[in-house]
Amino acid sequence: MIRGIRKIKNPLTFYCISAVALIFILFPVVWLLLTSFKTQIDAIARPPVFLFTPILKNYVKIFTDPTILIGTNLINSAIVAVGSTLLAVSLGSLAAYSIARFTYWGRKNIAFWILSIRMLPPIAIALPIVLVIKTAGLTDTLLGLTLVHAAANLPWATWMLLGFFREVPWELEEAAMIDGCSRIKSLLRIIIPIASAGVVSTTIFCIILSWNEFMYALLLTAIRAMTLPAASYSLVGFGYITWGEIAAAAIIIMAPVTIFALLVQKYIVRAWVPLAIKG
Amino acid sequence: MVNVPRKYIPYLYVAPAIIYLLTFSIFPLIFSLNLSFRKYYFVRPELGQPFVGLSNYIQILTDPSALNALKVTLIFTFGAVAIETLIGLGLALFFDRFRQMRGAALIRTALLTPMFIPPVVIGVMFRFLFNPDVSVVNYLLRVVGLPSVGWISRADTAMFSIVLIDVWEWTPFIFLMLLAGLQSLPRDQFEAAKVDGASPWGTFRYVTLPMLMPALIVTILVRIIDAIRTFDYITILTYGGPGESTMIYSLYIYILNYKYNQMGLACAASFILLIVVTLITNLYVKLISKKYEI
Repeated sequence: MIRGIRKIKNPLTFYCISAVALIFILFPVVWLLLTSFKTQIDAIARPPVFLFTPILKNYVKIFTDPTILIGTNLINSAIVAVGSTLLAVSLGSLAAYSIARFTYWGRKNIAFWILSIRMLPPIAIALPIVLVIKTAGLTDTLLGLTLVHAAANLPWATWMLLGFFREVPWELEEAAMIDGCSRIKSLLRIIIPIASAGVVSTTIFCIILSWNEFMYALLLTAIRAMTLPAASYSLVGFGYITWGEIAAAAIIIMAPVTIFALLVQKYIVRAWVPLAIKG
Repeated sequence: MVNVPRKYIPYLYVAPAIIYLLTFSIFPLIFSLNLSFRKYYFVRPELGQPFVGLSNYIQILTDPSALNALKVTLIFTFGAVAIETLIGLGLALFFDRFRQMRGAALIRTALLTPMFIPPVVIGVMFRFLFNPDVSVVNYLLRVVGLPSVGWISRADTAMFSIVLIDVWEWTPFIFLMLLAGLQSLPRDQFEAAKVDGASPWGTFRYVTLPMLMPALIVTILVRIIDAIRTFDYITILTYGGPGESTMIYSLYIYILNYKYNQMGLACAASFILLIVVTLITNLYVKLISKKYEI
């Protein structure tokens, strides 16, 4: 375990401890998945059943029941995630470019001010934001939630992009500018393509955060603009829905983002890790 | 583009982000600060918003529920982060040592799963697992001869249950950060310690730990700041109960506002939270601004 000591490097130790960790981490997910294929009788059976005849009824029910709008919620979630991410990454790129490439008065303070916004507890600003959105007539609209999610993700996006942009060699940009490239062109044609892996990481990160976000979705949407997390909260409150159906809904919310995240985890790790190493 | 004097160009690039954040963070904060000195029932606008000075703050600071919420938040935050750090550090050291094992990368990826699962789903998931009647966890405990646990249905075990959930969700984050930190450390120091005949514990205590310290501190601070604001799965799982045993501060503010319609009070309570978080954030920024040359 401790570096440089090579004696007890037994593969068996490694696989045993890994197995224990994997069981703890994955069991809740597996159980949820199993429950989503169970009838109500199997779901609440005592003792719990591990072997049963799987049914698809739960999934069919949540997609076809007219009182459950999971299809609409799914589309809403996707629109808000993509929209807010585009906004956060564009504004974040401009800001990160400015902080990474220029020296000017107040630069450092601006950078740390942006970072400290990320640390604000959302509940502390949520109440007035609800009023702002209401005054603007944007309650229960996708635009309202998109704007708020973008604001929530902008600080972190800026900081991630800042880290990636700083790694692009200065000389490349200078050469382009001598050739008559303007600043904004050099950002779009030189910096972003070279730092593309970093931009992808940041984008994925923002999409996941928006997809998973619950509190603002709960406060700002009612019916039309409801995203999956808020919708599932009201589902849990309904008496008539079965455990299997709740589990199926949870799997629908979880599957896209979790599978996507695991596939591209290399990029996500790249987005977080600089903070650990450079911090 | 219009001709902007050269020295203003950088400000032009950073301005959209600043304006956006001012609109959605600082402006609401000022609004909320103003309301925190007023009485405001937003369901009865005809009463207006009379100025009441510090009375909201005094009311919060003398409200046993608020003090309970602060206590719950502190126990939850420090309990969860302490356990996560210990397990996360252990796992990181373990995976760093065994990094050449076949399948290590795949196992590491699988261990990161909880971080990506929506908190709402985590709430639903543990509702099944921690349901005292049909809990599969209790069943498995009985199978190995241990007593059943009341989990979220009893005031004395509810806190333990939500800490356990946080540990499940966020230990992977600490593991990931510390593993990256460990792998970026220079190798030669470990070789030197080995040549000098240092014991494994000695190498860890006097070589690994000091070098890992900056990454460790930053990771822990990020976790503390995020744990304090936990809201989603506690709302879904316990809604602060049983009694007020898991009434975390965010949920307390939410209930003040949405159940009791006391927006002035809720804003005052928010500012008390903000002061605490700002102190921790300042510490964090001070630490990283030293290392992070921007």
